[in-house]
Amino acid sequence: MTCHLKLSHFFPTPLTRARSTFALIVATIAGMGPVPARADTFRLPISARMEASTTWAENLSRTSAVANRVNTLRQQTNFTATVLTPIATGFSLITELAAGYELVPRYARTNALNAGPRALLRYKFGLGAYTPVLSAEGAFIRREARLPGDNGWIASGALRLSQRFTESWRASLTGDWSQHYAAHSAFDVRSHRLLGTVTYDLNSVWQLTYGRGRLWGDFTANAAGTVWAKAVGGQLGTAIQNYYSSVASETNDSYGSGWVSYRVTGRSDFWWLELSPALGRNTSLPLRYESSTTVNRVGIEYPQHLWTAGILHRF
Amino acid sequence: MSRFVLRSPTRALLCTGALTLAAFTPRAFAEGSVQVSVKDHKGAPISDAVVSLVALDSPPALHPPVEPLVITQRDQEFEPYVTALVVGSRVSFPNRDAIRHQVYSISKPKKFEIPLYGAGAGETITFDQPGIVSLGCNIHDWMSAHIVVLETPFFMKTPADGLAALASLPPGRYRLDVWHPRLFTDVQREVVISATDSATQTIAVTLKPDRRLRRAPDGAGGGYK
Repeated sequence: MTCHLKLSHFFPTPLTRARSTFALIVATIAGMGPVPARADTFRLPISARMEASTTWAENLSRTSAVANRVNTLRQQTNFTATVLTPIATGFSLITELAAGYELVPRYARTNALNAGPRALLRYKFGLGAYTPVLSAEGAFIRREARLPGDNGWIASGALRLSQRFTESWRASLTGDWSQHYAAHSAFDVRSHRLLGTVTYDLNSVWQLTYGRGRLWGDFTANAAGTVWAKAVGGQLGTAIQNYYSSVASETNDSYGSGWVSYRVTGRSDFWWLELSPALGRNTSLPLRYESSTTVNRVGIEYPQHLWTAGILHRF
Repeated sequence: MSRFVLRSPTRALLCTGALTLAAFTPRAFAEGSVQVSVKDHKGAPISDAVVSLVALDSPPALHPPVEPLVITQRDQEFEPYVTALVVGSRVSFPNRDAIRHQVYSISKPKKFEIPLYGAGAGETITFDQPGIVSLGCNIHDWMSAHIVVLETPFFMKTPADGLAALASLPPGRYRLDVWHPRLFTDVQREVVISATDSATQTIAVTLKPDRRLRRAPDGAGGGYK
């Protein structure tokens, strides 16, 4: 698998443990892939998908102070191997092994590797493309980050109902839950989301998707050391002082010397618009804009805007 | 889908765009033949159109082939996209992909489902009612194909040049049918086959846009993560 070799240069030297984990997963996937056998028609029933994307992120650091917000590029690569297994009439079990790497060239301390299994139980209410589909999924992902506190396991579950209405229109509604069992409490977050998507295929090439949703729960934000000192020192108000003094935080130089990561509770409203031309039968080029406004318990806002261009290929 | 018979050149022009009856050419054998050229309104040849002739005077006996026809699943597509066969024919659905497929039809002439199966020979299905049978895969929604089940042994699917040549036709009156997955409306016309003549029919049709489901993968989507 060439992806193994190409991905190896993404790993900075301190990520030895992550690299070995990822190498193990890639080797496993490679071992599971289509292999020549005595009968030339026999291959293991595995499909694969690879995605690479570059994002220009405004306020990637999720910072409230306008002057300190970090605008930068982020690159992501994901590889997924999938096995589909029939369970009973209408039911299928989809098991996946996924690995992905997040690379922020200018802020390498925030790089991270995610890898692990995912299982999805899908029920199709009959035959045909216009039949509603209900799926329940669970994932258990290992996160190896350069920030030691961000290491840990992420457990997630989702319930999704999707339906195609015409050749062009389809929609889905998803409720999900996620818990990051992180090494340090500043990254130990739990949240749940409710989101919906509407997809319109303009023709066999161009596809437009709109999604909107809300998240409730914890999130990790970041602040420059000077701003954090003001917040906990009471210079930004008593409410902020009382709240920020009570939340988990750590100085980890995430986006610069003295930067602090802290965990707060709140909600986030987000939406995105994606235009995705097909570059062939198995390849697409998603171009996406995402916007989110996150507000913590004491009313502090963390707006984010992300422009993403990616390439997706199904093997 | 509404069916109608073209009884006059005017109606033919209205319904199919253009119709040209070419010169009849004498042939050296006793049975007649006809060549049908299917084109779009710009004159480009149309492939995957099924041209059939139904005898109106004395319908011949139907003899389905002994061996089943084959519709393969390869690279997550059906091959061929359009299959024409005579009533009573059998079709097997071998899977040449590494992944599993679940072939089904919910069309009235033949409803069936072949449970999820992997590489190798699939189940064989008998098509015993005339009509159009649309196929799908319940796992890969973009996969589609059509089977045209006919009550006549005289038929042909047009190749890339849009030409269907039907030979060894007993003389007499026939109903000429043309079907295509994207046809706005079925085309029918009555033709007379002479023992000494060969006719060339040019049929121009208007096709709907190709609205097969998009196959390219969907993005991971957005949302706060």
